[in-house]
Formats: sequence, structure tokens, C-alpha cells
Amino acid sequence: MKVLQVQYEMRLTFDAPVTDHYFQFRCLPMEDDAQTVETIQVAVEPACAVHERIDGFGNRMFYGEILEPHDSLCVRMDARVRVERNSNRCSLEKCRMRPVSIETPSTGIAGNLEPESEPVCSDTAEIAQYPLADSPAGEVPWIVYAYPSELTRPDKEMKEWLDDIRKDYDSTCGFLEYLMHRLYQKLSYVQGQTHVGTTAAEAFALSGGVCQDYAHVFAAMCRMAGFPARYVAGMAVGEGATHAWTEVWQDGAWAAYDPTHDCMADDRYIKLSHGRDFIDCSVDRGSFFGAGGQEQTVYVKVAETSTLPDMP
Amino acid sequence: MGIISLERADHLYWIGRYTERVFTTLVTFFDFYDQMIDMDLNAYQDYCKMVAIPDIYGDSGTFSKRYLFDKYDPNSVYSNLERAYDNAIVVRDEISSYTLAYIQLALDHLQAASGSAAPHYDLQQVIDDLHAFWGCVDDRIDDEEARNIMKCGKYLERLDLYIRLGYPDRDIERGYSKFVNRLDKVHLKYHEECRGKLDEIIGFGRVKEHRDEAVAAVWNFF
Amino acid sequence: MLLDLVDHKESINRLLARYGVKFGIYKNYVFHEQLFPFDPIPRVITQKEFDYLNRGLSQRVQALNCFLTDVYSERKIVKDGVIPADFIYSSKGYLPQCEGITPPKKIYSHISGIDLVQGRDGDWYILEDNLRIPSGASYPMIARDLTRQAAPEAFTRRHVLDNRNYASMLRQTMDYVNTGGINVVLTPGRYNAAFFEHSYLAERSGAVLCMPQDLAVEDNKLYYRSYEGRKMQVGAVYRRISDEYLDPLCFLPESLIGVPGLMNVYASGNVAVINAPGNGVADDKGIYYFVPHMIRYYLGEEAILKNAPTYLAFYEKDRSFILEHLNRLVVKDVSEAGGYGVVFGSNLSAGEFQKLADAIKAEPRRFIAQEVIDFVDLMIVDGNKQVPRKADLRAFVLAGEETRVWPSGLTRFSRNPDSFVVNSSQGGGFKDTWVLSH
Repeated sequence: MKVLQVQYEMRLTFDAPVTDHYFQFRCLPMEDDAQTVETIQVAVEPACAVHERIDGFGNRMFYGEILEPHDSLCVRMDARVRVERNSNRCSLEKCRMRPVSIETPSTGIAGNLEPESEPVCSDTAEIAQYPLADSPAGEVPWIVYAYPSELTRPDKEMKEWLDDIRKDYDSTCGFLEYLMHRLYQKLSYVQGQTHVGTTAAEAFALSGGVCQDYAHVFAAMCRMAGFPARYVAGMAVGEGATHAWTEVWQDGAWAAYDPTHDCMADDRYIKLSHGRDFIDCSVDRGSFFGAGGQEQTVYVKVAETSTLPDMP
Repeated sequence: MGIISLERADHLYWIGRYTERVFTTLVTFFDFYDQMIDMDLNAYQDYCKMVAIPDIYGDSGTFSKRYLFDKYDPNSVYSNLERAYDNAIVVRDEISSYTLAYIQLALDHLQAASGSAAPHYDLQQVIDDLHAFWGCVDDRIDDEEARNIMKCGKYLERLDLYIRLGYPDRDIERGYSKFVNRLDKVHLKYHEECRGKLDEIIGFGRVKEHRDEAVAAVWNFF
Repeated sequence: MLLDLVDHKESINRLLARYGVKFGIYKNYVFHEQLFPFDPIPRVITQKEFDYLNRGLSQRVQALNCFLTDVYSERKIVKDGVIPADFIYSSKGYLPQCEGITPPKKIYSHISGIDLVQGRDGDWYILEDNLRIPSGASYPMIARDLTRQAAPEAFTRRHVLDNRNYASMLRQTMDYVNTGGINVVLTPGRYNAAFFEHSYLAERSGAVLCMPQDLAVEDNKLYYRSYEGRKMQVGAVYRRISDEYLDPLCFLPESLIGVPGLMNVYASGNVAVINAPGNGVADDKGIYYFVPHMIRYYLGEEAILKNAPTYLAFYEKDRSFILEHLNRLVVKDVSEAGGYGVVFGSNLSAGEFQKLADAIKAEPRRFIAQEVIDFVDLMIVDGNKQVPRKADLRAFVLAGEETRVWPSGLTRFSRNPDSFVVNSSQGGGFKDTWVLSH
């Protein structure tokens, strides 16, 4: 078990003022059996009304708009999260919805977890039922994760490679572990040669990319091998950018694999959202009206605040 | 319903402009056509200059055909009428199918007249359709603001053509006062200095001397 | 019979031209509009027959609405093994973004266009369900109005139910789910194949015709914005834009025609979207096979109207049957629409035949095969003669406070004597559909 101090900050600046700016963020730590959010603060600048809801995949998101001319948008999230990913297994998230206060400069500093805006769905019992979160342990989860998606559709080369891996597999470790290990050897971490819209097949052909590409390729491979798999957007201990990994449905629960680092995602990882691929659960999405250029910076910092020994 | 979006205001305005362009052009065209029958075969060249369209025609016969009927000539009467239709169909719910049908009829009649040996005679039908169209606008469009926006377009276009084609001051003055009358009833944003300029030039009856300035003020009005 | 109408063919056509009764088509990427060929001889349906169709179609649409509610919430029909998960979750029309969203009044398919044909045996067969944005109702509606002008005497003693009530049915459908505010018809724009219909239905139903840029989200509500800065709340959007272009924040990020944030407003219950996003999962050609099962599952009834005998290549037994009898079946690619991707086994060359068989073996989920139904011909006027042609019927089923069938429909016919394909995009024409009042 670890308690992590988490910070996410996105700053978008424009050369010339823009208007009709719509934004949507999935940058809040997911609340599930593995993660408990102890405190959280979110600030949006410039000031505007913000609404929250749970998307079709079970992710928390908040959204709003700034219609007046403005030349920047800044979103910052600070949270303390207790993480307990049991033996590398995250079990079923319940999609608990807790209203979070969104702080904007005009309202001053908001208290922690005091609902200022109504949660979109006030009936929490109903929320716990729907989205996709999952079905009872042991049953195959929401099966949409068993199929290829826009960015994870495998091609012939990927299929052939997987066939070879299956032949080589010698049962000394779990198959998915082996698959991840071989993939790690095959791909190299290269920045700049792929972009947010790169498909798994393209990244595979290039034999490399960034964490998003690793997570896509691994998810595609798992699905081909018969394991439902989902893309996870999140952050890991350290400083820099957001991270991505893959959860695979295995023996009645989701197991979190980090193919970029060839290891299981453990208590040093903070999960934000999941989906079939990046498009489903992008951390930020927006549209605006304006002519000039834009620059976006994202800063992420995750630090351990305390580590308690595991209880027997 | 009394609420008109930006997009829709734009379409209403341009229906006014394009239908009026077709209407006044046809009426004026007949004067030039009359000259070209046996007096001044090249009268069309002056015409092109006045309305500032490229003379791509070469001779009066080609001009009479292409300028009236050619779908591929963006300056032709036909093209302008088509644009009127394109703007009108997207506000069908505002102006009604019944009103819209008169633009469709005008298009069909214009097309049917192409190749006619007596265009003046055959095109009277198109002019009739446009008269009927504006009659319907008054009778069938409930929203006064929508009607006024259309008329702003109509009278600004008329003013533009009158100035360019050298209509008498009296006509221009009357056209301008009709335009201003509608303009003050709607909420369209316009350039005050253009209005000031036109007040001055038209008010003092100096259009002949300041033709280019007047044309520019109309052009930059909205 | 009905010669009085044939005599008035010319004047009816003149009126149709006057009112611009057209549809658009892209040829070599250039948009053209052409008059929709109209045949003056209507399809006539007796009251008794219509009662039967009404019951069968309402039942079908009710079950389809139950199915959509279930798919996007509890998924009981999958858990109970009635429909294999594959047919739902690998369908292009299934949108996980719509999971957990409850549309106002729980209606997904407000306006359903169900295509059927009448076999020579007199029985009706359902060919396909269109639950996304079925078009066509405006054509028989305006054709009726104009035919009554051109040939009033044809109606004096025939007791034909007035079909111009489609406008008020549509309005009631919108009003029923409206969450507070005006009704709008959202069109992608002037250069859409069905633009005539968008503008005509808006006019007749009293909704405001609007383009995406006329609408804007503000504080989790949808507004129609005026040119001088006022705004009016929108309570129901009859959108004629397909799902993936509706909202660039939710679906295709590169879509330029959508309304950013619309899906959030919809998910929050602050606007009704007609038809609901995500309906494509229920009108998939693969799901078609299961509709009679759905009717049994949700309503506990037997289907009143029959499906055309259909085989799913997905099931091994069906697949071998299809491959064995390919020469007499019609094969449909489930991912295509508008009459495309439909192949008659009997028309194939040996090479094409083999290619199709291979494709079915390689991707069985993609294909269904149906027996070719020998459906009745309707007479059409061709010059001075009358000739028989294949025709289908698109019935419109509106779901509001109750589910009911519009007493008319779009009868489409093939102008080619050898063809079964009636789609307007492939040169077909249309007829009015008369339902008699007794």
C-alpha cells in the first residue's frame, strides 16, 4: 500500500485570443478497489462553470466552456491517493462517484471535497449499476474489450508475430508475461516518430513509439490471443508526462501490465481512465474557434508520501 | 418564433441580394439588349464595365446567351438565381414552400427561355415570378424581422446596381431611403462610416461625381 | 382503375417540379440534385391489411426499443444467451459512449423506417429496419398534397386516409420527449442527399431548421443562438446528422459539422436527441436475424410480421447451407447500406462466385444470406403503357406516448425491369401509398 501525492497541470496558450472553447477532462484519479482518493482539488482558469459526469466507459470526467475571448486555459489537479493494487491485480472498480469541487479564481479557494456543483447524477445507486464497469468476478467482463477498436486493429504482420510467439512459448512463466517480455524486446521507446492518432499496426511496423503505442500494441495482441484487454491512461511515480498501460482480463479480474517497462503496474501507478484505446479515454479533449497557433504543456508529478509495510 | 441565428440572418440577407440582382439586371439588360439589336452592337462592353464583371464574351450574341443562361458563368443571371435558391431553401421553414416555389419557377422559366430568339419576351415570365416571390414574402412570412433582413439585402443590392448603372439621382435617393428604413428596424451590425458617407453623397445629390466612393461605401457597408 | 391519376401525370409532375421535390446525389464527388421520379399510380392498402401491418410493425419497433434500452444498460439479452455478444459488441453501430445514458422517456428509436415487401403469396416480409435516420416520409406527404391539387376527383369517393398528418405526428413525437425548449431539425447542410426532406419536415412540423453552427452548448444546456446575441433553449433535436459527426468531443475529433458538447447535454438529460445515438447496433443486418427472438424475449409474443428467411454465416450450420445454395440466395454485407453490398448469387460469374464464397469463409460475421423473395410487381406508367416493376414499402413507425404506424409510407420501385434494387440512389422512383379508411 502506498499513499501518493499526485499533481496534474495542463496549460494551453494561444497566440491570438480564441472563443467558443469547449473542454473535457478525464484527469481525476479513478476510484476503485485499488485506489482511494483521500483529498482532491481541481482548479480551472479562466473561471467558468464546470459539470461532471461518468462517461460510457465508467470514467469520471468534467467539462465546460469559455465562450468569451481568452488566450489561455489552465487546468490543475492535486490529490492524495491511497493505492493498494493487491498482488498486481486490480479487482472490480465500482465506479463510485464522489463530487469534486472545481476551484476557479473567482470563487477563491474551495474546500476539499465539498460539493459546490451538483454531481450530474445524484442517484449514486444507479451509477454503481451502469457503466461498464464490470460484471461479478469470474464472469467475462463487458465484452467490448474483446474486440479490436479503431486504433488497435491488428494487421497480418501482428498476427504472424503473435503466432510465432505462441510457438516459442515454453510455459516457464505466464503467457501474457512472456508476450509482454517479447514485445518489450521487439519495440524500442522512441519519441517523435508516432503521434496520438498512430494505430497499433503502424507503431508495430515502426517497431517502436511511446507508452501509448506500447499499450495499444499489447492490448491488440492480448485480444488476438483471446484475452479482453483495455487501454489505461494514468500516471506513474516521477515527474514529466502522463503514462499509459494495459489491463488484461485474466482469471476473473483485471491485471495491469505496463508493456513500456516490461513489468506489472503496481502501487506506484495512478489510474485515471480506461477504454478500448486512447480515443475513448483521452485525458483532455477540446475544441475552440480561433485563427492563431497554440501551445500545450502538460506537467505531471507523482510522489510517495508514505509507505506502510504490507500487513500479513 | 422570433429568433434568427447568425447563419440564418445571412441567408435571408442574401436571398434579398440575389433575387434583386437578377431582377434589376434583367430589367436593365433589356435596355442594352434593345440597343444591341440594331444600334450599338458593343453596348454590352460598357455594361460589363459598369457592373464590374470580366468581359469574357467576345460579341453581343455570345453575351446575350452566356450572360443570361450559362450555368458555368459565375456572373450569369442563371448563376445568381441559383444562389438565391440555395440561400432560400435553407430557410424554407421561415419563408414557406409556397414562397420558395417562385424562385424554383423563375429558375425553370429562365432555363426554358435559354436559346430563345426573343429573350425579352420570354424572360418576362421570370420577372413575373420574382414579383410574385416578393408578394409572398410580404404575405406569408410572419416574422417581421426576417422580412426586414431580406429587404435590407434587396434594397442594398438595388442601390448598388443603380449607382453602378448610372440611374438618375431621384431613383438612387428613393432606393437609399427604402434601404435605411429597413436597416433601422433590424439588428444587423454595419459600418457607421459607410452610412455617413452615403448620407452625404446621396443626400447632396453628388452620386455622379463620387460614384466610386459610393460604390465602395455600399461594398463595405456590412 | 386509377386512370384518372394517370391522366393527370403531367400536371402532377409540373407541381412536383415547382416545389422542388428532389434528392441529391454525388457523382464523381460533385453534388447534383435531381427530381425524384414519381409514379402517379399509388400502392393501395386496405384498412384490414393496414391494421395487420400496424400491429406487426408496432410490435417490432417496441421490441427494438426494448433491445436498445437493454444493450445500453443491463445487457440481459446477452447474459441470457439469446443474442451472441459478438453481434452486438463488434457491430459498427454499437457505441460504448452511449452506455449508461438513459434517453428522455427511454425512447431510442422515435422514427423508424421499416422496409417490407409483399410476396406473391400475399404475405408481407420485413427486409430491413432503419433506426438511425431513415428518410423518405416527406415524399409521399408532399406528393399527396400535390396530387390532390392536380386530380381532386380521384379522391372524392375512394376514402383514402389523409397522410399529411405526418407533420403533426412528428411534432407530437418531438414534443413528447422534449426536455424544455424549442424543437429543431438539425441538418448537416444544403449538400445532403435528403436536404429537401429536412427543410420540408421542419416547415411542416413547425420545428426550426438549423445547421450545427446555429446551436451552442452553454452551462450544460443546448441553445439556438440569434444573430443579435439572444438565445433560446432547445429541448429536442431531430438530427439528420449521423452519430459519429454529432459531437467532436465525444466521437470523431476531426468532425467539423458537429456541436461540441452536445453529448454531455444529452447524457445529462437536458435535451432529447431524435433518434438516439447508438441505434445502429439494432438495425445491423446481422441483428435483423434476431428480431423475432427479441420480440419473444421482451414482449413474450410471437412476431406478427415475418422476416425474409435468413441465414447467418456466423453459425457453422448456416454457413455450410449458404455455401451450398449460394446460387439461389441473396448475400448482404452487414456493413453496407443504401442498396450497396447486396449480391445475388445467381448473377455471379464463376470467378466472382468463388471470391464471394472465400470472403464468407474468411469473415463469416460480415455476411448474411437470404432467400430471394418473389415479391409482387406494381404497375407503373411508362410512356403510354403500364408495366410491372418490383417495389418495396418503407413504413414509418413513430414512437412517442404510444407506438404507431403512419397510415401511408414510401413505396419505392425499380425503373429497371430486371432489377430488385429500388433505392433512389440507384435510380429508383417512388409512389404514394394509400391506406383506405374502410
